[in-house]
Amino acid sequence: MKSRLAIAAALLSISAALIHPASSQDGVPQEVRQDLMDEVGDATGVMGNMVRGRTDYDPGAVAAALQTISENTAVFADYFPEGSETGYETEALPAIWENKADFERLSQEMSTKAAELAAAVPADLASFQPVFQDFTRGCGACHEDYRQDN
Amino acid sequence: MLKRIAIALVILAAALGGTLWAVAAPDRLPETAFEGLGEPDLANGELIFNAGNCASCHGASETSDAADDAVVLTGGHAIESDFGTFHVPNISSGPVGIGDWSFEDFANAMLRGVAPDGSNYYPAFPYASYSMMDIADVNDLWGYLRSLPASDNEAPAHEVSFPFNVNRAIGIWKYLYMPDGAYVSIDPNDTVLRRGQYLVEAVGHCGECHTPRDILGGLETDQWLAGAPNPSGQGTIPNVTPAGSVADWTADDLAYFFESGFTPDFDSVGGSMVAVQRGLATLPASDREAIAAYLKVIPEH
Repeated sequence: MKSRLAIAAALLSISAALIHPASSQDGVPQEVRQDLMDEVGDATGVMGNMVRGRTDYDPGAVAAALQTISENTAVFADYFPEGSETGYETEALPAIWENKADFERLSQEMSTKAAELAAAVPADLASFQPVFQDFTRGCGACHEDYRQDN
Repeated sequence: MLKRIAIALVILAAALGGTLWAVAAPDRLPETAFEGLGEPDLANGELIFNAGNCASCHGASETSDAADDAVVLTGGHAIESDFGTFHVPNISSGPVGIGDWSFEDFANAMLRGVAPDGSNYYPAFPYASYSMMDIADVNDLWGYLRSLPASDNEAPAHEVSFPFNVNRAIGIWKYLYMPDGAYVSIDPNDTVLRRGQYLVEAVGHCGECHTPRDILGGLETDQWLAGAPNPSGQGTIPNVTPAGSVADWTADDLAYFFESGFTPDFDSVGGSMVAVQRGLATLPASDREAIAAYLKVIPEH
């Protein structure tokens, strides 16, 4: 009996693996979304260090950074399923699940805006600075209501 | 003999009670405090308004994210605390707000925590910090507030239970906790540090969230800006002393955070600090640098 159960369980796990092929975004949702946001932070840093005058302005690198932000924020809100409210040092606030539609909308808006900007990166730093400032207000718009104070 | 002791104790208790009652009486500003004030400077009033971030508590929540919209100070935001729920009042320029007030009323509210009817405000209104403000700035802020739109929104009454609903109890709180000078000592000849101290300790009332409180809700000033539990119950308000979570930040990093909302590794500002940072972003760069300089010299915790 026990061995039958073990075989059934093994078959189930194989079929589960077939339905959901492994990808870089497989895993615990809390960890996936943290990784996605870490990449967004790194990409923002690429641009922010240019704005702060710490690195030379490079429109190609700006476009790549915006592309990463667009891709990650397009799927970011998918990693907040029911049951992932706590654990893995999550800083997600319960307000996310109370206002899921607004949360998803903000993430999508960020993605759309990043893609638009990636297609029209200014040639010089002076023109990019106000664009960066305006674009990154979107970070606070979401973090104000949906991420814990830290 | 026992009876005499009992009588003496009763007299002592009455005297003590009487003293406390007297100590707890609302304390208005003297007439002389108002001497020499001219017409309010609205530009400076706006700067003070943004540095103190009045809108983050008194503004309508839907207008608070849009810095360009006219600010309507409708009140109504609820502040949950261990003592009850406070409903932030309308302070718009209409009659429900401060439209019918005199400047003396406003100055007594800001600098003494006393309402126009002579009662004490709850210290959820952070007048302990504002009491260190310069009355000229209060005058400018007054002028600016009166230039903003009116709202007829009525905030609900505070929901506070005994004994915290006894108005004179607030007088005792004031006696215990109203600051009688700056919270930290700095070089009095350094004008940059003095400006930073003024913006942090008085106008910006940073300590109200970043400093832990004792059981009566008074600031533990020997732990100035050392961080505290978040009153909302989620997460913590960080320690911003030079040994705290900003230990590795330069003064330039701090000033950049106030300007942009980004930490040195480009994590972004979150929670209630978002609105505070938006206000700071509107200040002159010299004010952000002054705040940063002050945060670098305060005692480490």
